[in-house]
Amino acid sequence: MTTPGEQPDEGTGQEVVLVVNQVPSAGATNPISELVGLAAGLVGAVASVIDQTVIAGVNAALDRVVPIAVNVVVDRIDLTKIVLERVDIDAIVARANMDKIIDRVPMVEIANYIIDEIDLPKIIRESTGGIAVDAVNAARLQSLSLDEFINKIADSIIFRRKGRKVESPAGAYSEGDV
Amino acid sequence: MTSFEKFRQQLAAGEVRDLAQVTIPEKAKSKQGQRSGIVTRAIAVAIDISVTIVVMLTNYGLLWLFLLLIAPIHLFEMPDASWFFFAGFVLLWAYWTAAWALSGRTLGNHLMGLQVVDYKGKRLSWPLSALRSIFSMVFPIGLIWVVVSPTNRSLQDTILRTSVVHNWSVTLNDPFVRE
Repeated sequence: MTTPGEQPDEGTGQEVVLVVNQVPSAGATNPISELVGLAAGLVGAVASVIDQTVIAGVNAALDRVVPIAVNVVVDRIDLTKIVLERVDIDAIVARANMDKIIDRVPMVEIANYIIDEIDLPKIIRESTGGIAVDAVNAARLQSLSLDEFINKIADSIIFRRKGRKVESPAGAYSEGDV
Repeated sequence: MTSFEKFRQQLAAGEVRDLAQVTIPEKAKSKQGQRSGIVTRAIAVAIDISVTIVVMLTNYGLLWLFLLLIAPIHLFEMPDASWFFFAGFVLLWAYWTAAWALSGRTLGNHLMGLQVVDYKGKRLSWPLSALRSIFSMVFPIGLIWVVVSPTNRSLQDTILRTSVVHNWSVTLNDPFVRE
């Protein structure tokens, strides 16, 4: 097969023959199915590109917008009030695992703090006072009731009905501590 | 329930009850600051007199031992009973005077939870304390007046305007400490 543009060189009289490989005939594969496959691949690629770029873009946009939006919303509502009104806090506390909480609470420090605050050593010091306090208190209480008994008898003998005026003198205990 | 914050506020405002009150039996709490009756006071006096007698006997024994060491025993004579009585009298007078003027409590008072105060509820002055002391000793029967007195006062208390009040907690709530 000779190309039409190549004229034979008249001077030499030689002929150049161009040999071209024959294009594979259409009978081996269907060009339509090939086209469809190509199109499908292209669509897949485009889809994945869209998938990655667009969704990533949307995610990034949401990441930026949502916190702002939520903040704006939360700023406008009283969350504490809503929780107080609508949430059963007792039920939540009832379900909480107190043991774990208590495990994390510094109990010994708190106990020491309480002892310091109420001045427990002072109370102990004053309650014992170097004497067996129970025995002393028992004796005092005994004599106290004997006092009242005798006073009652004396009052009835002399027909005193108003009772005795035994309040402390002014100033002794009037400074708000009894 | 009192939180720490609330407790501190009350403490600062002076609203907290005396913490030593915790140690006083419930029945006696209402009696704090009230004038005592005859039995308690008589027991306190008896304890004081017993203490004086023990001290006098101890002194007598020590004196006897001392004289035994430095002199033949036949030279030692027991002092006249009246002198012995007089010495005990002076000792008790000095003891009561000092105790009432210093803390308001003798040993007997302390054991029975009593305190001697003047008409303002304050510590007795030394002269008043000495006067009350000698009055109580020369006229001990005046204590009986507590039984009939409408204000639980002995004759001495009525005349000298003193009171013997219940105060079971020793240091806190003590008018003498606050002075």
